[in-house]
Amino acid sequence: MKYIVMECHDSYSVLMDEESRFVMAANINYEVGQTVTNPIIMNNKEVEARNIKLFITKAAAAAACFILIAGAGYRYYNHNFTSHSTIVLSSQANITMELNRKGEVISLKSNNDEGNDLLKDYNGKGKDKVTVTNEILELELSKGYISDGDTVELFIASKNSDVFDDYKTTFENKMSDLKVKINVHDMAAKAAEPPKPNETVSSENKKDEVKPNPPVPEKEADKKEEPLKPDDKGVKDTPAPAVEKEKEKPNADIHEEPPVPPAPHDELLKPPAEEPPKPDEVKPTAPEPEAPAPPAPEKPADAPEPPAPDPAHKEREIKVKPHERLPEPAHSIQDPNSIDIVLPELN
Amino acid sequence: MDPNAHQIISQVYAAKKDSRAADEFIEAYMPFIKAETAKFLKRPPDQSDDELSIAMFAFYEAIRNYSMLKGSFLKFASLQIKNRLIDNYRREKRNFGKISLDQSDEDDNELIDTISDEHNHFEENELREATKQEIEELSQQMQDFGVSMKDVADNSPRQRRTLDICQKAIKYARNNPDILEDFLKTKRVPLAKLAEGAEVERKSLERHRRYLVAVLLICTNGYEIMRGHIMQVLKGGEAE
Repeated sequence: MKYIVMECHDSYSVLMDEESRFVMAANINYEVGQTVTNPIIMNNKEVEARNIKLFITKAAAAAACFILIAGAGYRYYNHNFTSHSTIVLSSQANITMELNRKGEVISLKSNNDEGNDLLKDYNGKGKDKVTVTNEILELELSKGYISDGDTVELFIASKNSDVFDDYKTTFENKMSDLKVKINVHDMAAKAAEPPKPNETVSSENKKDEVKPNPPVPEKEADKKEEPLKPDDKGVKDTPAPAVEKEKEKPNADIHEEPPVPPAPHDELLKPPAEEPPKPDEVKPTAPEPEAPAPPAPEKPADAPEPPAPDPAHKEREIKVKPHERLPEPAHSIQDPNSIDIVLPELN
Repeated sequence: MDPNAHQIISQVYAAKKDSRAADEFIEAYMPFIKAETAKFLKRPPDQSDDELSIAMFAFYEAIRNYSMLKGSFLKFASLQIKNRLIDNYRREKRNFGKISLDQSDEDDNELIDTISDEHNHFEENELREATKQEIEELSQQMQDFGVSMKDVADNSPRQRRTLDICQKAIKYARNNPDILEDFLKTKRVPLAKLAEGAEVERKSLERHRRYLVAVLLICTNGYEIMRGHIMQVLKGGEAE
């Protein structure tokens, strides 16, 4: 490659090559107009550094754009395609609806044959939850899985309690005129509280919601038994049946059966005074109509109220003057099976 | 960093932008450049030594490529000078064992005089003078456009792709004399017409505007020698 020397300076020269490129090179005793070959051409690292900086700036801008788009895309995906709440339509065809943040259905599943059969011909994805619920109920009615007047349980599971309240209100107000009753429940509370039949959100007639009485937790029922000392067992026996009888009625969902009291000893042991049940031991609740009646104890029916078991046992109220003898016991205290020596009766 | 170093850095950054400041800075540090050359040659350099010219060139290169991130300027320059001298030495090593034609014998006759020379030195000198005149005229005309030779060297395309784009535009201008006339009249490069006519990106032409000024001027009348020099590149135009 030949170069024409275009300009000369002390420390460098400007050359033009045969491809019309202009370059800076070492001035090795050059003269303007001279044609040279193999010059020492300058390395322009400044330009390279500028280019690298430009590249880095462009890469950073591209990365920032990518992050922005990825963030927006993730947010869109999170809003529209990830499950934020679940509604279970509990009937013969058990249908589970997964909803996105906007309350639109993103998936429909079932764990039984009827539900799968129903969903085979139905696709509710992208529709509103109320619309899908109505359509599914209509399908169930048409297929005979439910009939007019039936009650369908609706369980809503969400991380936020506000979502449950909002959905419940929506179902109250926007359900179509189907002759099917719907009970709305919070799935989080389902484990502790089974649905009550009197909690009705009917699509036909909108009644005031009757809140179910919270059941007495099992622990509290047990507490009644705990404070009693072992040697108070006899005392416990008599009042216990009356207590348990009352206890059973309000707490139908407590599955623990009251202990069967032993035969009371009426002559010796009077029932203690009618004491009102202590609030920390017994919590009377509204009577359950469907709760089965416990077995009637041997105690006479005229026992008015379940008295609290008296830890300090009072066997009887016998007023004895100091100089008097104790009256004869009403019953024999001798155990026929005992090997003890038979004591003569006291006169 | 001591105040001297600060002063040097400020001078370097001034020399980057201004040619005159660069010449003054190099002049001021000539002893340093000679000392570095002497270290390499292991003798004091002579004004006619190529190594001194190369060291001065390396010092100027260091001015252009220096940034504060690279530490001390003088250390950076010293390294640049050393590297250039080593590169030159390796290149010259290929010529070791060859006799210089300027070498003189006992009668002070140079060896070159004993060899028959088919070259016409007179014509070569004439050509060189004519070329020099053209270059001077070109420099003067470029000043009207606000462009210097150094600016053109800085603005010249380095990548093959960009060079091809510029050459395409220049070929189109050569084939359309009215564009060159318009260019001389308005003292402006008609980028839009060139981009449209040559079917190239206007942005690429804009980035190399000063280079296009020099080459378009060469393509106008009066610069036959230089046009002849770059004619192989401008194939497809008029034969000169």
